[in-house]
Amino acid sequence: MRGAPIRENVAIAGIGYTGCYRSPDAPISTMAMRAIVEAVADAGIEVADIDGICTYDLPIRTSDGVTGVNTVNCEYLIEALGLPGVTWWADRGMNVPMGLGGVSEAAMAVAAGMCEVALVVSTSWRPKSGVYAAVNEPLATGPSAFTTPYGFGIMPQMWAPWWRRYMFEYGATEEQLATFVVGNRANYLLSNVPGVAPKDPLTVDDYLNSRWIASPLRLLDCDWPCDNAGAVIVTTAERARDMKQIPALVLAVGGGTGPRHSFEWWDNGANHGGDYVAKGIWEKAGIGPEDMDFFMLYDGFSPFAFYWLESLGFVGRGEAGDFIAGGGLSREGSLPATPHGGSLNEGRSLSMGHVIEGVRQLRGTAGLRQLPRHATTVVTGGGDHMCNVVVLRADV
Amino acid sequence: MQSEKPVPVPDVVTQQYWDGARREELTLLRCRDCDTFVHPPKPTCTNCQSEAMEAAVVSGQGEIYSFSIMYNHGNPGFEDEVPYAVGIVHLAEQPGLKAIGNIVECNIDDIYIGMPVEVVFEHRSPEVTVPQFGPRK
Repeated sequence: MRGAPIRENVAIAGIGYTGCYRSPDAPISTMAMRAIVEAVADAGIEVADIDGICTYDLPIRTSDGVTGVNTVNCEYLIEALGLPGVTWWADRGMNVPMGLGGVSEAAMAVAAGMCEVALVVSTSWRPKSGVYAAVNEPLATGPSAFTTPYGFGIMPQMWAPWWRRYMFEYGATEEQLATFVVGNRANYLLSNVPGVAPKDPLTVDDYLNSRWIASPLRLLDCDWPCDNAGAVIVTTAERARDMKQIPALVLAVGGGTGPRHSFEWWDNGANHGGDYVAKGIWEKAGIGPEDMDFFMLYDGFSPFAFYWLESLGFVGRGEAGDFIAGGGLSREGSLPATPHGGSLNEGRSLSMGHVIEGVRQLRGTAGLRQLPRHATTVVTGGGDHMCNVVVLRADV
Repeated sequence: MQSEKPVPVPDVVTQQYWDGARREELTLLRCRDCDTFVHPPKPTCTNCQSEAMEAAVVSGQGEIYSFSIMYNHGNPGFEDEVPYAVGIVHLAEQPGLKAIGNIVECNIDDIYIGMPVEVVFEHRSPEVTVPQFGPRK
């Protein structure tokens, strides 16, 4: 059966995470090693047990990448870890969406027998000067000739028209969006999640009065640039059961882009790659959205909450606003989301933070943030254009 | 002081677009075999994969599909223009056919989804003309 090679045969067995910081004391390679050492200890294995490796790495402009300083890759890590026996490796950037994509690729590799104990490393680095993610090339070549000469070149600018169009088509409101943003901040304040957002409560009025970046997106609708490194051990369910922690069984992985990979050129508001992911993900997983105890939705920009709720079939198209306004995503709601406060608060972890928190919740080790129902979750990466989804179940 | 705006660099696929702009013609690529417009330009048709793509001047008329008012300049050249508008314009010639440009010659507060617009041409230098969109006259 389609999807069967992965379902319940693969598990996340170890996690390590630096958390998100503004100005860490070490180059990204050291941060990556800290996360890896933590993940290996968490799983109760040795570094030498690792036989597969995948990196998802994001310096903001790939041309500025300096290996070891602001970026890492498989070659670097294999040497740094002294790994002679790697039989699978993959370096990934934005072609595979987010660190979650690395987890998906590792799941496929393990299921296919390419390796047995895969290390997934996700790093994010914040440039220390200039406008974050600004496109500074004075010559606009290729597709950028049609965007940057118009001052249309950074992510929030490019997502803004789609949120405006969605509001127009479905009657969604900024108050509904505010409900998600405010609830996320409340989650973040529950415990000492290391993160970049201020540890101040936020009200809907605070949000509505906050500054614009690219209307209708405000600063508070955007995730925070940061430095972080995360590491995940993906292995067979059988090996995971011999390791230290409760395995997070992988039920299914999926990806989707929709007909336009470049989201600034979507044909209409319904390009959502998430729709294409959802076509297969629940069939592969063997359970449905109604079975999810909580939702690790990728919140790189706050409107993603709306797109993901609808694409994955939690609500019908255009119904996300009412669901959110009614408290559906809150801790007390029917589908608690981002109990750690998400990227909008901890920082731009590019979905790795969602994987880490998702696994902690599944294991029951999320401390003050622990949700009462925590057996199943779906983690998403990306903004519903080129995107990635992983469905997990605690092995209890 | 405002720095220079990014300069679009024509290439073998897009040359006709930028040459047309200098002549104040919004010039897209259209498939001779199935009449589909493809934009941004590609050398093969996205509908039928034909290589029979040819330059076609379009009316420049359209409606604002969506837009955003920028309060952060993002890339260089727009520091003094903030706040400014970027629009995604649905062109009249084909469902789903879009162009991106600044929305000019109007107050940013007057811009709305569905607003009728038409192309205007901004001559930035002897070499570079960029199509923009303003209210339909």
